[in-house]
Amino acid sequence: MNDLKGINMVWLSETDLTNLNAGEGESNYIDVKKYKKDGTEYPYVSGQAMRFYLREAIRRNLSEDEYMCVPDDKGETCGDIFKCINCDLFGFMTTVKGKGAITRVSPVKVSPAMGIFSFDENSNVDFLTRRHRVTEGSKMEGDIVNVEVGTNIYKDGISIDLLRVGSEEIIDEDNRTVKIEPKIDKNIINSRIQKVIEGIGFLSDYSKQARLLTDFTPDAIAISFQNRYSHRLQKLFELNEEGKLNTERFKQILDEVDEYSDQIFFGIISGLLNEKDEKFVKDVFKEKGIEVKTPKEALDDAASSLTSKSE
Amino acid sequence: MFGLKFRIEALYFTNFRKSTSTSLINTYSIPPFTTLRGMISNALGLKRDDLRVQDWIKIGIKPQNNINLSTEMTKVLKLKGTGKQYQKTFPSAPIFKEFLVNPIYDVYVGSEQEVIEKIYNALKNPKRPLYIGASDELVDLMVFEPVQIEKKPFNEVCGVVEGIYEDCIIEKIPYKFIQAGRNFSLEYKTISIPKKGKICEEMDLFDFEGEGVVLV
Repeated sequence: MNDLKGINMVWLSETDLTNLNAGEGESNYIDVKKYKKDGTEYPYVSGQAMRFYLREAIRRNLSEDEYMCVPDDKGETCGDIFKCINCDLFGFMTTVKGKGAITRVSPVKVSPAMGIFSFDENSNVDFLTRRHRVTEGSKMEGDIVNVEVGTNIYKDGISIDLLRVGSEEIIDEDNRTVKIEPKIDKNIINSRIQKVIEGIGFLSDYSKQARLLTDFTPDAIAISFQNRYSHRLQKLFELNEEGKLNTERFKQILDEVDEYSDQIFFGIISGLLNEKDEKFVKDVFKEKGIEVKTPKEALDDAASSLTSKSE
Repeated sequence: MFGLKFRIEALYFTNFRKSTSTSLINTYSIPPFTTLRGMISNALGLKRDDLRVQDWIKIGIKPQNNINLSTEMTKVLKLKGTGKQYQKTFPSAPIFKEFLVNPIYDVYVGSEQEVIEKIYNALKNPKRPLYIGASDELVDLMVFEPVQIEKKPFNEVCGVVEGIYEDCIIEKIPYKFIQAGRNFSLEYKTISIPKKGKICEEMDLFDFEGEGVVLV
């Protein structure tokens, strides 16, 4: 465990028709957030939204003696990493009278979820009715609203700085070295990291879910426990517009990450990739002696392996 | 003189915020020199606002893919007041924010051998997870072996050049922080980013194994 520095996770998630994160829109038009690459538009879910989903997934999984603060009306959190899981894992900027602002860089980095297929080819516009607020007894009124919806496969990732969870960084000016000072018990640190890993499997709270019930949890996930800070694993999945995996790149990235990884976990559900690519992926892991499981099993294995490492 | 080349890829989105933007968050199309030195400082494990790296190295930048710019609406904490008085509240507001999609840049660094080796080792095995732009904006680095470099004449130049040239994107980007007591000011450089990848003009450039690079 002492040699481990970080955990990287990257996953793919296939959605049904949905609008997970609305853009700027207009008065009666709810669009989807889109980014443009080389002239083509793709949907995405912002990093801010993904952090919110993950935080809420962790919050739902708290035991009675665990605490996670809620930001006040000014958006400030408590800033107490000893007792607050939220401030420890996700960082904060809080003001202290006479000292100015104290900033903690988040040890958990969450990427936006980027749609892989172009939006135009995989979308539609649906209606929903929006009811007006009316006083009691008066006639009910409403209007028709257009809402953009689309299917896609989203790529998403997170990176956890294991050394800084539950710890503070002290800079030794003379020797120009960084010293990490743990502030809480090792078991509590491990349980907080486990909560992040488990939280990925229980993401929820997306927008429009009253009508568009969507599963946005991973359908294929790779998790690496690394003794070097590197985000190379995030480049593992590259799918073309037909959903074909770049198999050569998959193997290259995996071989590189394997060099500085203590353990790699992989889970996939059947049907996400075509038959040939799915077989390729399973063969690559078989060669490495890694068992391919379902995404939920891979997350559970990664979380429980953390406990065994600390013993 | 010794040189080091590394390729930096922002894996998802990133934003190099123009510090003078207020009600709209604009981005520079390339990482400013101050941002790149900050990332190297981060890899070395130096503390925030440590400015030593800016006196050690010269930097060259070459964009490797198209500049894909998008805009989103985001909720941002707004700073209030002059900074001279204690402020308790930082209200948040929705703001339009520009971002770059998956940009890739080749970065060239020139300095003494000892400094280059130190930076090479730090980038290969950084002291902290590396990001560029905001702290969630993950990067992947490909670091090449250090090489000896010297100036020689080239017929064309690839990448960013100081000054104003034809058929280029012109930007005024932060170059260096100047500290005076507890205050910092910024020195800017006007640079040209060739739209077609290179500027066809004869210049004396640093030779990075056949690549002519301007180090600023």
